[in-house]
Amino acid sequence: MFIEGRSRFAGVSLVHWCSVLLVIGLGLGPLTLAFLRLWTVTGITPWAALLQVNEQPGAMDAFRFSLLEATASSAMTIGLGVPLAWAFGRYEWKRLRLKRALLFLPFVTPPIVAAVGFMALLAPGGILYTLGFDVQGETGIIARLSAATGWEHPGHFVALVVAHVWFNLSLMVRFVEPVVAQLDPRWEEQLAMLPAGQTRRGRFQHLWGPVLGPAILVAGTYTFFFSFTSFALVKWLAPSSNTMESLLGELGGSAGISGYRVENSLAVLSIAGFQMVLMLLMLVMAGRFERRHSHVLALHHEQGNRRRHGKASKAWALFVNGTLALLLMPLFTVVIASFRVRSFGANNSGERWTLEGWRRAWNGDFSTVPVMDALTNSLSYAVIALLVALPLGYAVASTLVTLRNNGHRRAAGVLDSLCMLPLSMSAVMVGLGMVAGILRWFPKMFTFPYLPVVPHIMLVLPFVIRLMVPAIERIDPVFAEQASLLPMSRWKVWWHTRGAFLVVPGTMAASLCLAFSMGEFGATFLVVRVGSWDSLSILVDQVASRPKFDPYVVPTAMALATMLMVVTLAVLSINERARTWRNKHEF
Amino acid sequence: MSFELKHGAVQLGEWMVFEGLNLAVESGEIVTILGPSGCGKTTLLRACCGLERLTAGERVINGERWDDTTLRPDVTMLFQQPVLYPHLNVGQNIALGLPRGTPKNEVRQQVKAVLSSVGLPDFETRGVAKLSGGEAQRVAFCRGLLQNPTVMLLDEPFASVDVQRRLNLSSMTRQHLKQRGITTLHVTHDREEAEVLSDQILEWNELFHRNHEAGQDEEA
Repeated sequence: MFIEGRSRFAGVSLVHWCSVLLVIGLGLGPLTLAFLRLWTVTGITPWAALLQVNEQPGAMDAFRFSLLEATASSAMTIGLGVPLAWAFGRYEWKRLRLKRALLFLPFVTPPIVAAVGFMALLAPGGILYTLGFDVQGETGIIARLSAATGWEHPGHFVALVVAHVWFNLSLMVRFVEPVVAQLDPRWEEQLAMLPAGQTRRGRFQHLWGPVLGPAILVAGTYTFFFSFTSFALVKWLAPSSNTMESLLGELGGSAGISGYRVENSLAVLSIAGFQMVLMLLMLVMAGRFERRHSHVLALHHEQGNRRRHGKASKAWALFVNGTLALLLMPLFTVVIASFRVRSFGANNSGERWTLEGWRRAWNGDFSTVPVMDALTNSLSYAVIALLVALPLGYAVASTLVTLRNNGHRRAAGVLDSLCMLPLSMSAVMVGLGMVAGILRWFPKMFTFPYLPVVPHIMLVLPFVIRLMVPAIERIDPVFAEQASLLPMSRWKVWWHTRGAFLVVPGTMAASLCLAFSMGEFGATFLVVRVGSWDSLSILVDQVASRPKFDPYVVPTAMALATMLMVVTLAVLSINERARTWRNKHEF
Repeated sequence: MSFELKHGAVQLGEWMVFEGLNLAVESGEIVTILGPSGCGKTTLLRACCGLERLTAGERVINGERWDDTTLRPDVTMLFQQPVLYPHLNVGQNIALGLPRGTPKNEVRQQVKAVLSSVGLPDFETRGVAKLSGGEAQRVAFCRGLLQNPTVMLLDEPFASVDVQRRLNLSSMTRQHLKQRGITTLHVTHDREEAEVLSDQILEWNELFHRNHEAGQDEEA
């Protein structure tokens, strides 16, 4: 269709071009400023600094640890996630939507809540501690593992990997389950009648491997990426080690100041550059693999597929329900731990139940902002991030699709990569970009109260774009052709040919925006310099970091974490309600 | 209103779909172009309504040249697969054909009336996913009728319906088009459907042959 609009270049409107430039500027601007600032302070070019990464104290240890834990986390997530996705996609389940929502819960749980949840599980009295996983005291199983392998603090590593698997399991299911559920059953039936499909190995080699491979790889890549750049979980669960991300977090506060600890600026410049190159390479390779090996799947109605295979066996039911129960355990523990306090008995081993943690969390104290202020900040940041990121992300996605449809594939590819740049930078690097870049060059921005929103927007935009692009591509252009022949206003044409088809992916994108912003820790940790800007996740970290001789520190932190969790879920559920919104029927 | 295509040509990429095509439909007349699948009938209709750019030639409505890059509100097309918006029910889909700002009561009345006239009473609140092929096409036709078009282009609209029903639908469609005096260009590969529906049948191949002869006459 060649219907022409006003002031268009390559079929894309001026407004959309402006949005694309803004998004690229948002990603590249702070980063470029940060590198320029660090370059000025150190007198070393980013490229020269990159080559000195192995000389930076702790950098190689952090790299090895990041690589090891991210590989282990990805392998375990694939090992557990693929069977789970298979069970979800293949069989009929009672209360499927509820089960899916529960499975998705960890992914939208703020990392700081997950961290304190696992801490509670591993603390004396926690379930994992009772089972012998004494990570802090390193007795029991952990001590035996340490003695057998000579490995220092193996418990920290195990706890971190388990937490990463907990976080990313839903991601694996989200990517793989639809492929299992929607595959045209004729493919499987045809293969069953051919010699190559007689064995399980043959069916995997010729059907399931090629069909599921790209989805597993993409989810695996994201898992690796999130684990490699983990910050809050490392800070709390593996304090003896550093990922490159947490090392950057440690050093970032003092980087970029002329004449002050220049070695820190140099370390940040080389580690940040190294991690960025590494992540970019990984994302580009994964993208290429996905494009090369993706197949156009003949999609089938998933309910019909599930009905064909009937109810799951008892073994599958046990596996799925058991996994769901394990996934919910850290969250329950957070709530329970907010009411539990160690009692001061003769042997100091008892515990009692109290609301004191909640009272202290609510009232705050001299060194922290009141909880309502932090909550207001968190909600404001989340809502602003949503209101900016969603339309911007849509405009960029729409531009990319239009460019591809009009034959400008290379231009679309370049713009896509530039817009995805913040994804390769990780949260701490984005925060660093803000601090070492914008703030060091323009210190007056320290007084701008919504500064933390900027990195939030940068971090969520790639996800919004990634969700919107395939959704827009799937819309049949015949709807637009039909609309162009009907007497409709421009707004109605947009709604009936785009908007209405984007309600579901738009709601998902909005949920991700809200969840990411509410739980964002790494970038906010670096950017927030004024106490009154503290978000709820920062407040949880501040309280939980206090010395534990005060028995109310843990229950107060857990109460704050519970509040953050409940508010995030409430915001998400309100947002999900929008998904079921429909036009009021006029007839 | 009469409709003409003069020396029309459409090239899609490297493929010249047709060229030097002359076609004229008198006001209120129903003309069918009969041709095999894949010969370019759909492209011709898309070019006639402005969805496809003419590589050469021009469209003329009622003696007036019609600019190549605009769509006219009084020219509509019924696609081979009915295009019904899945997020709207039957009534809402049909109401899209009415002019903007039509009062709600009038919308309701017109939708009810047009649905009854095609044998689908009380279908207003039904979801479009549950309609059969014939029902869906009738709903799309109703929407087209409410647009009050002067020219309607029909692209094998009953291809997905069984033979008996196809003939009934063709007859009903003819009745509506004649009643409203809509100038109609219809393309199909089904001769029976063409005979029931149209005033004049043109064979796709003959069309070019005739154009060629007309050209030779003009030259002579």
